[in-house]
Amino acid sequence: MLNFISPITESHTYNNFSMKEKTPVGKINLRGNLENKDFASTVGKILGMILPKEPCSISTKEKITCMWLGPNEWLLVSNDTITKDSNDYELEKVLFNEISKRNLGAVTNISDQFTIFNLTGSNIFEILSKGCPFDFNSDRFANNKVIQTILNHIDVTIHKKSESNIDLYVRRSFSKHLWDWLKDSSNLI
Amino acid sequence: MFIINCPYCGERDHAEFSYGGEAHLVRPKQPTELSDDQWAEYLFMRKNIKGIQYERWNHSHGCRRWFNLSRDTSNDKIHSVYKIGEKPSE
Repeated sequence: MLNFISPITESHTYNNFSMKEKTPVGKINLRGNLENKDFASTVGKILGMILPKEPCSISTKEKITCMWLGPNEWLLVSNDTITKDSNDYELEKVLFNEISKRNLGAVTNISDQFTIFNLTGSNIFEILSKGCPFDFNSDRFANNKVIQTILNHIDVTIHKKSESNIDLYVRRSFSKHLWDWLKDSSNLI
Repeated sequence: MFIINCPYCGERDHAEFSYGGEAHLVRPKQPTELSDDQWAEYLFMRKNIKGIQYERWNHSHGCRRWFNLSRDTSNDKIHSVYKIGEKPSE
């Protein structure tokens, strides 16, 4: 990543809870109307998968994970961590030429907007519940679901990979604050 | 604290939502031909009723979509939730 300076410089472990920042991962925000057949088929062809239509659901391919953010909004996340010193992504170029330029939808590179925290441990949801109104015991929140909510008054996107492993997407400018809050809360559990 | 059933995401706490005022206000077709009083009536005057009121809400910390709901202002009971552009059921 080009001149990437992360506000998070450490990883944190307390008992069996641990959190670390994921090194920069390519992220693209995709907007468009799924009922428009041209849009749906073009995106399907480029990504090699159908965009998830069910609320809070996810579809995955080897290289890319696609998350539902709204009825006409998706987040595409690269499964690889980026090591090269560049902000250019092949997928963004292809999507931009096929979607944005043809006025089918909008493609925005938001790689640097979000910081990803990877949290592991058996009591993650206990810690999150201290500052989040979402009901983590809900049946809707199964494995491989993604929700957007507020955590300690900060907008976050939570991707549940399993009961003891989640990815937390937070805006970069809020990441240090949320990191400190999580660190504090985990020590109090 | 009360729970709002977002038509897109399902049941969420009200803290994730923002209130958008009374719903189903129709903008006058020819604002230039209205008197100041009539324009002010459309722009500022709201019913502020006790009872069932139709409102606009935005799931601002979730899917960021607008929708309508009917809420009893005296006890915050939500009677129906429906998408923008749809008519209330009753």
